[in-house]
Amino acid sequence: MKGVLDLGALHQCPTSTHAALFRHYAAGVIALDLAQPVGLVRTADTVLDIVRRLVDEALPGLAVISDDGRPLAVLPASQVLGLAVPAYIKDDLSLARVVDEAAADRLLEALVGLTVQDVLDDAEPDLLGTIDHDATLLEVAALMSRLHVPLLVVAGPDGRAIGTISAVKVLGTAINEV
Amino acid sequence: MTTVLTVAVFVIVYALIATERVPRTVAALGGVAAVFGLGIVGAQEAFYSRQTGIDWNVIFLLLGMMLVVAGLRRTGLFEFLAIWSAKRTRGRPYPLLVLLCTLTAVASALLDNVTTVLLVAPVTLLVCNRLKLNPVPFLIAEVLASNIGGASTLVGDPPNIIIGSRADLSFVDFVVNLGPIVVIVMVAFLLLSRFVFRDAFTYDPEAAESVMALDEREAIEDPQALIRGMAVLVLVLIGFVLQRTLGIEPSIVALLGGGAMMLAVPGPTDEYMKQVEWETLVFFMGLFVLVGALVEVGAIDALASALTDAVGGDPVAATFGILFGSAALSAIVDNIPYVATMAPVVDQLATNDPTLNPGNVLWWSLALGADFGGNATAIGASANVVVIGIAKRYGYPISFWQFTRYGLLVTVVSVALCVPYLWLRYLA
Repeated sequence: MKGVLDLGALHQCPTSTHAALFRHYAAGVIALDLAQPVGLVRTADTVLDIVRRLVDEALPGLAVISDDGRPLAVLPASQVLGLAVPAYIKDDLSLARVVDEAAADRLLEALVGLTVQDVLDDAEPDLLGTIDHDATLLEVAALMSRLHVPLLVVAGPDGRAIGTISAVKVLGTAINEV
Repeated sequence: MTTVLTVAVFVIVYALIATERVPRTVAALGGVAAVFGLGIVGAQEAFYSRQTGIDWNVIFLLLGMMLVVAGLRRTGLFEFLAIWSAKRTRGRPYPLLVLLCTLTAVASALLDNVTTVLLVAPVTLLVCNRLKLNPVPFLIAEVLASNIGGASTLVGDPPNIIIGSRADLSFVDFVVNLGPIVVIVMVAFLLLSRFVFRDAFTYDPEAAESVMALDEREAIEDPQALIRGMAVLVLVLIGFVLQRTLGIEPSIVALLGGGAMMLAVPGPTDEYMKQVEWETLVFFMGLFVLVGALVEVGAIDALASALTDAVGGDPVAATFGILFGSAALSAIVDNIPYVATMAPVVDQLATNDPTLNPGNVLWWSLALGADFGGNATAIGASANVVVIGIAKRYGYPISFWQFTRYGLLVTVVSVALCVPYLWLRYLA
């Protein structure tokens, strides 16, 4: 991911946010500095367990890693929520309205007994949601923005997941420089 | 030599469509490029000729109806009707199948089959999940009902649109001539379903209660838009019925209806445009140019003459030859390219020997054979392919043979019922 920035264009960018990001690039803040060891789940975890983690830790999403610690997928919370909604209702939102409140409240029942591995294919996870540990703040922001995900998983030099970076963390770091 | 080349191009395109080696639109456009490139037809023949060119009446009739459907889709009408039907049956599986299939057949008679099954499938999944029923038999039954119901009107099935335009048959002509046999076949199909899908009919009183808790009124977000949309649909139908009296083409009625629907049920223009199946329209244009090339080089004339000789002036042989041949071929290839090819052949056959075509029986046998034959296999009609695709996406895969097992039986029964009907009404 290094070396893809057009620094000339960045200099001319009028927005203060971009300027702050540029200062970070120059100062050398990298993904490793921002990564937090939260939101990492394994394929054998149950979906209800990861839902509880999302709720208890107020996470914007999760990163699925393999048994040897390599990133497999990024699952934003909205996508986890989507697992509980049948595809035919996603296709026809008016059907969501006709379901009575009591049944609607039990939407997570569909996920009982499922593991993360069971739902990975259905969730259409974004396998590109991984960024190198030495990526700059702008690289992190650009990838997050392009993939429309609220978090990325940071891979270390050996390719294993170190932790995750949330969009809030990126914004929080950048705003301090404005 | 030109004739051989044209036929070769046509056969290759057909083979590509039938085997699905390339998308059907790409196959058709590839064929168009070949006939243009070889100088077999030019712009005059392809775009402006009534005999060899693109049938713009068909294209704009389809476009107009797609816009009408796009508006109706936004109203929630189908979801309302399907859930209302399910609640009337109090969750009993066979009555549920009967009502959903009847709704699908009626809707398919007025609208495009593909759209109808696309609208009915999600609500079927919802109801079946609530009733803890396997939705696959319901989905298969609905698509079969859709192809049966669609046979009854000019706009119900794309092959009918092609036939109507080529033979100058009106909406009323279709209803009067094909309506009765479609009703008979539909009743037979529903009775047959009681037995062929019997394993699917397990009743769970507790689950049935959960269907009763659904509120169909919630499906309708804007009742005023629904009323306006329904009014437009009724006007379109009146337009089709009075089209001859008013002296306007069905395509004009559909286009006016499409425009009126966009005003009656407001929504983003691009949303309406997304609902238009542009690929299908381009596929039709490509087919018309290819078949036009066959007409231009005399291949269609030669085939029609051979068929005229073969039937030896016997309308019975011609009628049932077309009925059975169409049913068999439509089972193997999509019935749209089949009818696009056969329409000029039947036209020529009827012109060569008008005694073969009492009461337009050749056209009705072509329509019935192609429409009912489309039910025979998983690839016989576009609606079949669409339902199998969405069933897979929703986690209920339907195999080719699973569909064909039911479809073939229904086709055999349907076509068998057409024999006495056509005989008694037109040939006896």
